[in-house]
Amino acid sequence: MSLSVRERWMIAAAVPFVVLAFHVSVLREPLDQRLATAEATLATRGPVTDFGPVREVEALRARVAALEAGDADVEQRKRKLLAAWSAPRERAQTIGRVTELLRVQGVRVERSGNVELESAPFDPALSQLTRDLAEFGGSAPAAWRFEARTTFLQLAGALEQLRALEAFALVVSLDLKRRRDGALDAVLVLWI
Amino acid sequence: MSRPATTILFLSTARLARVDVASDGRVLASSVRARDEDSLRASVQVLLQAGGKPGKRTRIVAETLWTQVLSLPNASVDGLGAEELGRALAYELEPSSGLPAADAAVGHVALAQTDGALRHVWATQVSLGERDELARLVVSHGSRLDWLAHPAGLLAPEPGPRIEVWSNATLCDEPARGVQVIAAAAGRRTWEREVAAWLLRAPQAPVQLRASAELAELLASDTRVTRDPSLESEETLVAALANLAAAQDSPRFPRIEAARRARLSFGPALFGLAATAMIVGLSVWDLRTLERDARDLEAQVARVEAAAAKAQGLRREQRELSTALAQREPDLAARRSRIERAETLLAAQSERSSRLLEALGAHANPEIVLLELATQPGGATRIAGLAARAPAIEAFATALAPDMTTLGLLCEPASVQRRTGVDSGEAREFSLVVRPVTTAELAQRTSPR
Repeated sequence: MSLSVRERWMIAAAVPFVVLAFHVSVLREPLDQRLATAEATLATRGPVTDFGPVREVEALRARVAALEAGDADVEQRKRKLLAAWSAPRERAQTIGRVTELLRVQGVRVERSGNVELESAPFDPALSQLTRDLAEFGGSAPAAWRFEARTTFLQLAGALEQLRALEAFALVVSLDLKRRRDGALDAVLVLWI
Repeated sequence: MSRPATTILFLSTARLARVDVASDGRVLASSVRARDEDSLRASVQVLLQAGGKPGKRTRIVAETLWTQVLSLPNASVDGLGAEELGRALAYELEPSSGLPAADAAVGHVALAQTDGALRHVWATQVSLGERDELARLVVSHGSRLDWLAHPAGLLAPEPGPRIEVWSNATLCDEPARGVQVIAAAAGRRTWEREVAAWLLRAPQAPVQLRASAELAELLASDTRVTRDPSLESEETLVAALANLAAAQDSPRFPRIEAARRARLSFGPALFGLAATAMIVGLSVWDLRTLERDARDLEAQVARVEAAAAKAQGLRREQRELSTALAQREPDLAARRSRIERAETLLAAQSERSSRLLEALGAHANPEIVLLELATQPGGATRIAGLAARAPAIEAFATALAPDMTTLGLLCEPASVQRRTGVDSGEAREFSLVVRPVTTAELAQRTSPR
């Protein structure tokens, strides 16, 4: 079949329009859709000016870090405190060491023995200490009473040495009475 | 056998003829047959397939082409080139041929005769589509279409007054007056009138008539007209066609060149290709631009959404941290407070007794004799003794007070009693109470004045 020149021109003119229509309706359509979706999303979001509470969060993180450090410090101090506290099985050994220390310092121990924890008149704040230590996981201390004959200087030296003893021996009560011969009757209650 | 230089195809309404001619004018092959096919293309196809390969160029003489002599004002054709004149003639021919001017290929030749301000142009016309189709057909048989022409005036054996009757055109020619082509179907009343008019103006000389016997009867009243049946002979027709095939001189009849048709046929295709290529190029550019824009925009969306998600995460973290801190900080403070209190108590208590004795020893003097030291309920310590005189007690208490303060103790005023007895003299019994500082007293001390 032969086409006239007019028909050929019409076809020649129509082909670009067909291509153009294909471009607009088929090829361009998905891209237009993508653009519209992205623009709509941006319009919904609006300009991003609030990037969140960065400084506040950083300050909070610093506080958390300080909290962790403080927590570790407290735990370490607690362990140290509890380490100084005699375990029940170590008490006999501590009593022996205290007795020996007193003897070395010239304090003559005449009697010693276990007493009720609350029997000695001590600072009430120490009751709080026992509660705190119990809360930290430590065991309640035992109270040990020493009756001795000594001099002022011997006793002062003994108490000074007691402070340096590498065991828990806390003087909670001290009573002294001077005898007619000048010696002192001393009653010591220690938490061990 | 060598290949013919020219093949000429003759297509009348009744007969088909093919003549192959060598370059020296020799007839190499010829054939004449009755026409069975109506369409020009089919008939040409029959002729091309009938013999061997056609010559290098093929010329087609077809009776079905439209041919006509037009008289145009000199003013309208002066200065026109051949191509422009052809287009002008196409418009002039459109009413009579019915072929749209834009779809017409026109061959034309100016006739020698003039008529005052008119110029006479003999034109032959075919549709561009038919011409191109024939050209492609010829090319498909290994030849090239040279031209197309109407047979009117082409096959005359000798010059002289003559009338050639073809199906849609009648050529009337006499050397003095030139060519006239009557574009009317033979045998009609119009045709008969115009032929008679021409004969009236024709000189008194014999007029050769090439027409069928029936048509010749219509003109038999004019004694000058003699029917010439020579072309009905195959030999005469072949000889005439061979002469036409070998003719090299400038044409004395209108012929439609094929070369121009080919060039024109490329126009729409080239335009279509160029325009399509341009559209495709623009489409690619547009798609790439859109794709890039979409990618950029989507990246921006992703950044915005990431920022929003990060901000949301930060806000969530802020809430979680705030909650955790609100719970843990007071707890830590309480634990730290208990630890510090325990540490302080332990430290204070562990040194209290030894420091007390140390202070008592440090501030002892010959006027003071300590008799008793007793721990009392509440942690206070009562210090009892004898003083040689009253001021010594005051001095002793005053000296003791700073040391007690450093131990967190408070030295309360001494109670003094005169010693009863014969040998007691100025001696005084006294007692001091050293007790822990209460929390209220501690707060009072540290508060700003």
